[in-house]
Amino acid sequence: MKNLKLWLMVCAAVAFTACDNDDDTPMPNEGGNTQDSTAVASSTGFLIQNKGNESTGIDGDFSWVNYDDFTIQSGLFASANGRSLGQTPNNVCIYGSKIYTAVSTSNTIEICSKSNFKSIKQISFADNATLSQPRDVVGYGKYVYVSFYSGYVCKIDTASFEITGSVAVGEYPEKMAVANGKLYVPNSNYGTGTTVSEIDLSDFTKTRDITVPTNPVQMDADAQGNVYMLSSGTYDENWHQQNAAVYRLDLTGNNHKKIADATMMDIPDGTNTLYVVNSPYGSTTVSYGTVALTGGKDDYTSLPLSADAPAAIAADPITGNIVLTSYNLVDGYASYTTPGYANIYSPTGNLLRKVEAGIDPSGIYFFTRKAD
Amino acid sequence: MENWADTRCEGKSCKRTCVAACFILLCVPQSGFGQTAGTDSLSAGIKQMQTVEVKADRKERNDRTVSVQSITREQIQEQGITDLADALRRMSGTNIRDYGGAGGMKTLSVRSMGATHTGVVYDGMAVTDCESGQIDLSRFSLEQADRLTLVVGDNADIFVPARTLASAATLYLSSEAPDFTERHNRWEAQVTSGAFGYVNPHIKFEQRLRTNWSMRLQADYLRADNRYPFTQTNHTLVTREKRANNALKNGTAELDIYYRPQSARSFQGKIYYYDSWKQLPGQVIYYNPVNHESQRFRNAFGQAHFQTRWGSRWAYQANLKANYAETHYRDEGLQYPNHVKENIYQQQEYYASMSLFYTPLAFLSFSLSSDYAYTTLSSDAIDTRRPFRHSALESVAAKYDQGDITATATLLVSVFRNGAKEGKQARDAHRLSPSVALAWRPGQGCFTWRASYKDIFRMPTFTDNYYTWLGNRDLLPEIARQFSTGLTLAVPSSRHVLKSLEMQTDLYYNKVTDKIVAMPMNMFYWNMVNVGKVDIMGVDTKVSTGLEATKWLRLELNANYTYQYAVNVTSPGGTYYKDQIAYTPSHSGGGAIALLTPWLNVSLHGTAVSERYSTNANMDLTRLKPYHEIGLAAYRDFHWRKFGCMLRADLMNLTNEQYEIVRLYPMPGRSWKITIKFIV
Repeated sequence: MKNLKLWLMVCAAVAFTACDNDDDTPMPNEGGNTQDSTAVASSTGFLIQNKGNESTGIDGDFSWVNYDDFTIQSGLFASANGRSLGQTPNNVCIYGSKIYTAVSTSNTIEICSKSNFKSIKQISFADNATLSQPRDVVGYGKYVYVSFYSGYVCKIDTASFEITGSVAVGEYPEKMAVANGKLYVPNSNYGTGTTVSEIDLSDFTKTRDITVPTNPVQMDADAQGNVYMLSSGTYDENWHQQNAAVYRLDLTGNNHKKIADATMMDIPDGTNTLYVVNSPYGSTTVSYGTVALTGGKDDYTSLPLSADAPAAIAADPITGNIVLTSYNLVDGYASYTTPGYANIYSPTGNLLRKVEAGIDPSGIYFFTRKAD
Repeated sequence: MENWADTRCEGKSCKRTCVAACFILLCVPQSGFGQTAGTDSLSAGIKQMQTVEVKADRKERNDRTVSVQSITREQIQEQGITDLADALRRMSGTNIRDYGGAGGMKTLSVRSMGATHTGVVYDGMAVTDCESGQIDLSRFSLEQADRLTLVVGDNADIFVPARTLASAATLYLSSEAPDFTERHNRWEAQVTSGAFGYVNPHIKFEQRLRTNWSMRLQADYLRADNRYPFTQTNHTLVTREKRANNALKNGTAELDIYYRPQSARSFQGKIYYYDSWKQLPGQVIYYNPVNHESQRFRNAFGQAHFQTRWGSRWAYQANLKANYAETHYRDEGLQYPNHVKENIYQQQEYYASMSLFYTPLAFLSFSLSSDYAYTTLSSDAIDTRRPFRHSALESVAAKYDQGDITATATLLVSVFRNGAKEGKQARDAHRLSPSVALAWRPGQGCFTWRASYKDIFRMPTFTDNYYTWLGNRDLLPEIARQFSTGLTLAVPSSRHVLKSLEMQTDLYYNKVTDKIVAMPMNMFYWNMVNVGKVDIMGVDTKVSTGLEATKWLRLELNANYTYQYAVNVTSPGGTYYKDQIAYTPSHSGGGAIALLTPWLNVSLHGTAVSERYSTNANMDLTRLKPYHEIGLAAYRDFHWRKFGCMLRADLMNLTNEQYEIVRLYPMPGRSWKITIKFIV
C-alpha cells in the first residue's frame, strides 16, 4: 500500500506525462499532493453512480472519470469485490476515506474504501422492522445519517458501523442536507408531501416539521448555512409537471423564497453557487443555469449546456467544472436500459469532453480534497 | 368447433404405393377422396360415423390454407407433455414467457408478434382480458381440453363469429361433446402429486340427461409451494438459494350442457368459475430475498352457442357470453402508507354474435357475422373512472373449395367507441382488416402448398390507455401484417413400418407497426416502451412420424424448430437499429421420442432455446444464455371390465439445468410428478 502511494505521488509530480498504462491511471485517491506539507485543495476526478435497471436485470455500479485524461473506468465495485453492488443503488456519500452507498432495492448499505472500492461492510435491512429501503446518506461529525423510504432516518457510527439510533420522519423521505448542525429531511410522500423534518444532530431528535411547497425531494445548503429545497412540483391532468422549483427556506417564519424554476439542482460543497436544470415532464424546452446565492439578488445566469435527456447536474467544488449526465435517446425516448453519457464543461459552460457512462447515470460525486 | 379425428391424411383411398415415393416425389394422385365415409362399417352407429368422417374430411380441408398445429389428449400423453405451456413449446412459432413454477404466469406470443396478438378461444368463444390484453395460460389445465389447436391467420372454416378473426394467431382449447354410444355416464377422477408441494386433484363427470341432451361437470384444484432451489450467480459469488413467496392455490368448476340431435341443430351452454390466490415471488434481487406481493384472481363466465341449418344451403349460429373478472393485487412494505399497497381491477364484458352461412353451390360458400361487445373496467389503479368500450365487429367471408383448391377471402370491419364515466377517455378507432388464403393440393395427394396474407391489429388495452402514469389515451392500435407461405407433407398410414409421417414448414414475413411493447417489472406491473416498428422473418417447421416396428412396439417421433429474425426497425441509423427484439431467440426447438408398448409407454422429450436479450438493445449486460430442458415420462393404462386406470410418472429438467426465461425469474431445476387416474 505504501509503495503504491509513493509511486502515485511520483507520477503526479511528473505532471501527467508518463501516466498512460492502466497501472498509472490515478485512482480515486486523496489527490496528488500529499507529499507537500501545505496541502492545496485539489480535485482528481468524479464518480458516476450508475443505477442500473431493475426490470431488465442490470445492476448498478460506479464509474470513475479522472481529470487527467478523462478516461472512464466502469464496474468498479464488482471488479474490486467479485460481487454486485446491488439493485438500484441510490445516493452515495463520500465521507472520510469511505464511500457509503444506499442501495434501495437490495435493502442494503454498502461501505467501501474510497481508494480501491473494496468492501468494508455491508449492512442489510432485510430483517429490520422499521428501516427499509435506504435512500440517501449524509455525513456529519463521527456519524453518517441514512434516510429510508419507510419514513425513518438512522444514525450509523463511522468507526464501528453500528446503527446507534433512528428517528421517525415523514413519508417517503428523499435527499437530505446538513446545515448549522441540523439535518433537513424532505418528506415527499409520493409527490404529495408538504413538510421538511428538521433533526438536531447534537441529540438526534426531531425538533420540528417545516411546512414547504408541495413535493420536496432534495435538500442542499450553501457555505453560509442557508437551506435550500427542490420541489418536484405537481402534475396536471395531462401529466405535465408544474411548479418544480428551488426555494430558499425561511427557517424562522414560513416565507420561503423561490430562487429558480428547476427539476434538478446542485450546490457544490462549501460554495454559494446554485446550478439548475429545468426540464419539466411534458415540456419540450430544457434550460440550464446558475444562480449566485450571495448578495441578496439571486440572479439567474443561463449556461450554454445541452444534452439529449439530462439525468443529473453537479459542479466540482474546487475547479468549478460542471458535469451534466444524460440518457441517450433510443427510438425517440430517453433510454433507461442502455448506456448514457456525461458531458464535462468548464465553469463557463464550454464542453471539455463527452464520456460514455453506464446505465442510468444519475449520480455525480467529486473526489476532492479541501485545503488544510 | 367440432373436434373429430386428427388431421392426418388417412383417407382409405390413398394407396400404399405413396409411402416410399412420397419421400422424394409428389404422391401419385388418388381418386375418390372424401367418399369413403364408413361404407364398410356395419355397426349400429353407422350414420353417426359417416357424419364423423365427412366432418373429418371437411375439417382437414379447412386446415390447409394456413398453418394449423393440433394436438389431442392422446398425443399429449404420448409425448410426455406435462402442462399447457409444455404443449405449446412443442409447437413451432411459439414463444412462451414463463415466470417459473406451477401456476406461474405464462403467456404465448406467436411468430414474435407479441402475446397481445394471440387470441384464446375456449370451446368456441374468445377468452378476453381488457385490462392486460393477454391471457395467463397457467389457469387452464390440460384436463379441460380434448384438443389444442394453434392457427396462425384464418383457417378456411369461415362460419365463425367475427371475433375469431380478430387476432393474428388463435389458440383453441376445445372439448368434444360426451360420447354416449356405449354408456350413459362416465366418471373420471385424477390426482397428480409432485415436487415442491404440488397436489392437483381433478374430477370429471359426464351424464346423458335425456335423448340428445348431455352434460359434463368438472372440477379442478391445484396447490403448490414452489419453494424450489436455484443457483444464483452474483459475479464470482455463486450461492444456492430457494425461491420464496411462490405458493399458490386455485380451483376451477365448469358445467357444460350439450344438445346434439341428429339434425343439424346443436346447442352448447357453459358456466365456468375460476378462483386463484397466488403469491408473486418477484424478481430475484441481490441481498434481498424478501417479497410480499400476492394476487387473487377470480373469473366467472357463462356462454351459449346455438347452431342450426335450414335446408342444404343455409346455416345460422348465435353466440352469447357474459364475463366477470376481478383481480386483487396486494403488496406489503414498510415504505407504503399503512405499510400496504392494494389495487383492485374489476372487468365485465357482455358479448353477442350472430353468423349466417350460405352455400349456393357445392364449392362456394359465404358467411356474414356480426359481433358486439360491451366491456368495462373499474379500478383504483387507473385514473379515469369506469372506462368502457363498445366493440362492433362485422365480417364478410367467401370460400371456394373444390378439388385441389381451397381459397378464402375475408373482410373484417371493426369499430370501437371508448367512453368513461368520468375523466378523459381513450380515442376511438375503426379499421378494415382483409385476409386472403389459398391452398393447393395437387391431385388430392400428399403435398399441400399454401399462401396467405392477413392484416390485423390489436386495440390498446385498458392498462395501455388508463393505467396511472403509464396510460396513454392517444394510443393507436398496433398493426400486424402477415405474409405466409407453407407446405405440408402428409403421408397416409399403411401396413408398413411407417405408419404416418407429417411435415409442415412455413416461411413468413410479418410487419408490426405502432407496436406497444411491455417489459415486465414483475408479473403484474409493466413498464411500457413504444418500439414503433418490428420486422419479423421466420421459418416454422414441424415433423411427426409414427413407426410400428412390431405389433407390440410403436415409435412416435415429434420435432419442431423455429427460426426468428425479429428486429427493431424503428430508428434507421440508431445505435440499436435491427437488434433482435427482447426475449426473442433466433433458434428454438424441441422434440419427443415416444416408445409405446403394451406394457409401458415411455417418452423422452426436450426443448432448446438459443440466446436472447432482456432488452431491445442487444448488449452483454442483458444477454440471457441459451438453455435446454430434457424430461422423461412413463405411463401405463390398465383396463378391467368397465374400469380404466392410468398411472404416469414424469421427471422434468433431468439435467437440472439452471435457466431463466424472464430475466431474474429462475426456473425450477430437476423435479418430478406422479399421476393416477381412474375412469368408470
